Amino acid sequence: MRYLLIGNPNVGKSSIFNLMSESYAHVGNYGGITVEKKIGQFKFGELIDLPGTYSVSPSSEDEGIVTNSLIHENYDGIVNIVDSTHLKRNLHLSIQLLEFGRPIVMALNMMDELNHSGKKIDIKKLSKKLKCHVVGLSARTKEGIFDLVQQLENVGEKESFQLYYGKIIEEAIEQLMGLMKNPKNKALNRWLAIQILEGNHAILEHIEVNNPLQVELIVKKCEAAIIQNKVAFSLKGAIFNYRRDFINNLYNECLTTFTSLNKTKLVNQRIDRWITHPIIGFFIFLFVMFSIYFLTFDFLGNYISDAIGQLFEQIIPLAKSFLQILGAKEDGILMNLIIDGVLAGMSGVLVFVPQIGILFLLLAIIEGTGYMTRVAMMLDTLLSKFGLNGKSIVPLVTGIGCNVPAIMATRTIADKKERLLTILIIPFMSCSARIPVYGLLASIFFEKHRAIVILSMYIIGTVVALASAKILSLSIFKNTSNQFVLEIPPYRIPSGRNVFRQTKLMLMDFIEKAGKFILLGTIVLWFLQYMGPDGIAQTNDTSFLAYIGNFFAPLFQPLGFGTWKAASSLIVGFLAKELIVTSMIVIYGGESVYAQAITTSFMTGISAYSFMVFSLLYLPCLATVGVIHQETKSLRFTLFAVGFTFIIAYIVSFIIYQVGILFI
Amino acid sequence: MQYKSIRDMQIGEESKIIDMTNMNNIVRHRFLDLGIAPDAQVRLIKRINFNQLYIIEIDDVEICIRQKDAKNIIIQDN
Repeated sequence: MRYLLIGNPNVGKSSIFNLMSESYAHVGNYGGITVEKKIGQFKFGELIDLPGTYSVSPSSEDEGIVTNSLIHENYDGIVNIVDSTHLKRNLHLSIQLLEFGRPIVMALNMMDELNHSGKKIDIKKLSKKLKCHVVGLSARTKEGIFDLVQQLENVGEKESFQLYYGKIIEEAIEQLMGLMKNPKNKALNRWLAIQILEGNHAILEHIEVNNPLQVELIVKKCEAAIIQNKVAFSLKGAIFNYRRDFINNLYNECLTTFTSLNKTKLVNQRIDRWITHPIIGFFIFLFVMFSIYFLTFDFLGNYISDAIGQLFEQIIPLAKSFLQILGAKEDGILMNLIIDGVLAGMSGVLVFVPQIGILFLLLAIIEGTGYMTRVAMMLDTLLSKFGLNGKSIVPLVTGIGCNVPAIMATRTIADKKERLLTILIIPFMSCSARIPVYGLLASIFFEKHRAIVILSMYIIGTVVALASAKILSLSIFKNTSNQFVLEIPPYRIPSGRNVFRQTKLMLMDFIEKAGKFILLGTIVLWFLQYMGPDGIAQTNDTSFLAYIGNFFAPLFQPLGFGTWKAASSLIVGFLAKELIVTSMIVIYGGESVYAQAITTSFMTGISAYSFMVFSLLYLPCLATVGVIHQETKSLRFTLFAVGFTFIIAYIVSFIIYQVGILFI
Repeated sequence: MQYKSIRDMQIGEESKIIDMTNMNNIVRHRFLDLGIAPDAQVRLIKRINFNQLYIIEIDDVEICIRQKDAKNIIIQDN
């Protein structure tokens, strides 16, 4: 059995998905379009988690996925997750799903919150009126989850649910149903007709009708009649009104209020007075970001990272003697490859895993509280001056963790141009894979000011991102439709289980990706610098890698790091930014001597700083380039993104180095 | 006659939306999905960001909209 999980944004869909699915969850592609979907296994089959949506008819990329899945995905039923504290708004989507006619179970989440606010829902009555199974539950207390799972064992066929839309619309529905290719499935055809009348243009891409022009004519005539007879100001508005009347009746019949005290709301509004205050709120935001930063890099993360570094120092001699026992020669190829190549390269990145883990954990907690919505509001006015949207802040902050999910998170931005603009500047947000580069160079060159130097990278990244957004919005991305409307969810205490699960997933993903790339990368890299055109390279300088690096090195001369070693690390770093550090360690001769070697090669702190800035900005990693192409479906745009970041990186590093050497 | 919009509301004031035809279609559909529609009861909770954003409440849901949209949502003048 396969079920689709559908609901409004912020109704706890992912929590329920996590609670229900026993084993996580592979990520696959939706039929027809290549967008990731989450699939979880549960007792009676599979669950497919769809993005949150207010309506079946899509007004952003995310919502298009829902229409697409309803029609093309192979499934046995729908689980409609409903926020019981916002029943009136949530039921608009439910009605569209009920009209669709497939087996459906409605899960009323947050029942505990509803009861706390002094209200109660008559589930039996609701179930009877909507002609579907209804289960009350709470993802927070886990109450009712078991009932929901039991319901899914056997959903069976569904009684048909029909809403009467008034004479004018019903006539149009009849006419449209007559034009459908497959006249047998009445419920589906009626649903399609309603969706067409509602203005769901995307639906016409999925189905075939006998006479598309006729369809358009019917819609136009219907809309004209609605306006002429003063039913509503638009056809969609009229359909909305009929649904709202139905929902209001249902609400009054099934919901009882026993006390009218709503404490949460009062508390919320009191907190919001400070959080969204134009000045204090902004400082709170900065404080939160700095706290994340210092917890990750200074207080907590550093100690754990140092401990892991020491662990590796213990492991390397052990591995050495172990290899000797196996019969490897002291200076042999194998020894060299494993100790100075793979192990040294791995340890260079793995020591940063605790820091990255803390970062992901903190981001997950903040996401769970509802704070990001407030930040989006607070920064909307500021960001709109840069051609962006308050909603851009969520992908931008996510980008600090990893650029790849950040680019996918832009799907919530409804305006196409604002979305592309956000995608273009995300690679400037310093992701966790760049941490090793900073960590390594800062500890060699800026021992005493490590935290400040690394912090400056994040600031440079953000400033460059905003400045580029401004430039682009004045030139290529003019005239965005500039819309912003946001539902404000109440504050919630994030569930520990969810937070840990999310962190674990992202961290495992990082380790897996890094592990794969690093292992492969170091081996290839090691060979390139071990071998030269004349066989085994006598010195580093006659290796293949040196030849490649030397070719590009002059390009980087004005930036302060025109050596083949730096150039080839950057080339390798395009695969994954973690590899910059790995390759530097390998090129500079292994764990024990690289620090000294780097100092003699870079010479000054300013060229090291310029190198750090360049690795921050220069190219999105291969995975990011891949996801940019996947999301935009445009090769031109992807190439533009790559070229644009490279040019910006070059300019910024050039200025930093050239200005820097004037003073030092 | 001068129409009254959400922009002209007092903090805490409640009224009924009567017209949204001034908005462009895409934006209006988006608003409709969130429950912002003619006949809905709306309450202004507060203005933030130096009056650039309006926080309104409809059907128990708090929604944040921009000033330029707020002035296109015409309400009943009580």
